[in-house]
Amino acid sequence: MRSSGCYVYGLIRTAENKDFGCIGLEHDGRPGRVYTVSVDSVAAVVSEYAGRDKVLPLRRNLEPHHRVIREVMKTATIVPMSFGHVARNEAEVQRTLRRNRDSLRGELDRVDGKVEMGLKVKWDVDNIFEHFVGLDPELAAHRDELFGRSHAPTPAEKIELGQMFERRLAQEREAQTERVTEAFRAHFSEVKVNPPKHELTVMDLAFLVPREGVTAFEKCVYEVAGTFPAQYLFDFSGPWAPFNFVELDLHQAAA
Amino acid sequence: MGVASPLPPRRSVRGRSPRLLAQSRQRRVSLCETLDRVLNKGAVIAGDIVISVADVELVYLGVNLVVASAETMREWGQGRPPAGCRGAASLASGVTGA
Repeated sequence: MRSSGCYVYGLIRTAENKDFGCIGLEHDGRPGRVYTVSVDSVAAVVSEYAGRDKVLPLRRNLEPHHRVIREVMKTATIVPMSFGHVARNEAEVQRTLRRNRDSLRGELDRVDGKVEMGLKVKWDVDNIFEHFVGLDPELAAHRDELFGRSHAPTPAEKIELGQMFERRLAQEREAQTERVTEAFRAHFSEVKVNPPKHELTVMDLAFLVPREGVTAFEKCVYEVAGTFPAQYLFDFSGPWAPFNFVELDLHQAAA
Repeated sequence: MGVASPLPPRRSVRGRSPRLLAQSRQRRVSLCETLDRVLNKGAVIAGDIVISVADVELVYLGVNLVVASAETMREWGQGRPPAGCRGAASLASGVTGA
């Protein structure tokens, strides 16, 4: 039994003890050795971690966290933990695995052999409002009516125009998201629609794709992008570990 | 350490006229995508087993990209003021103009 804590990177299905080498978070001044702690066929990917303080989201910690996930992904399907989990010791990790055995197996089955592909579609225009006014005569007429008068529009009128714009934006996002997910239908088992973080974002999607289907997925991005006008920009990324498809809320081990 | 930062490939395609973005922007955006996933997604363990859960409050990259979401915060029930931004400072030093 080790005395130091265990930093947990993620969970994989394996009955063997695996060693992924010294690629983990720093421990004793060196990159920590990454290995598995398993219960039956479910294993946590961990490295020793002695820090008593919280693991800060610093580059020197985030980088190895993600590096380990990437490395493990090469040979196994990993359910990634979110950054910053440190258990007291290996026994705690094992107790947690045991207590959550069923949900862990279910989750590992669901994502087995699959990877995540990210797809963000953006409006590549200077002014999104102008862009929509150009597309929508009703919005344009309303805008012209408000700003074409001799007196300035009231705040209430501006708010109403803003709401009209927002509704139009939401409608457009919804319609295009449906169109895109439909076009990708044959390539994914699950899709997650994340809320757009920026007004120029049309959609922010994550697809769960079979590992062997990544090339076909990428080809599909080019095909689908080709059916859109030039002011739509398709950014895709991956393969990632299935970050967006993890729905686990593990319970702590009973003391 | 000898291990380069592991960023997955990212490409960009414009409707009707495919093109690739400059390498530097690719890496930067890919880093943002990485942070969004690493900090914001993934399995969580509730309760005391965890000595430490990342002191992530709001990590701002560039102007207005919030990486750690309000949901993550609520999930952990951390009502603390955003002191965790001390972590953000060193992060942001390598990530500009998100």
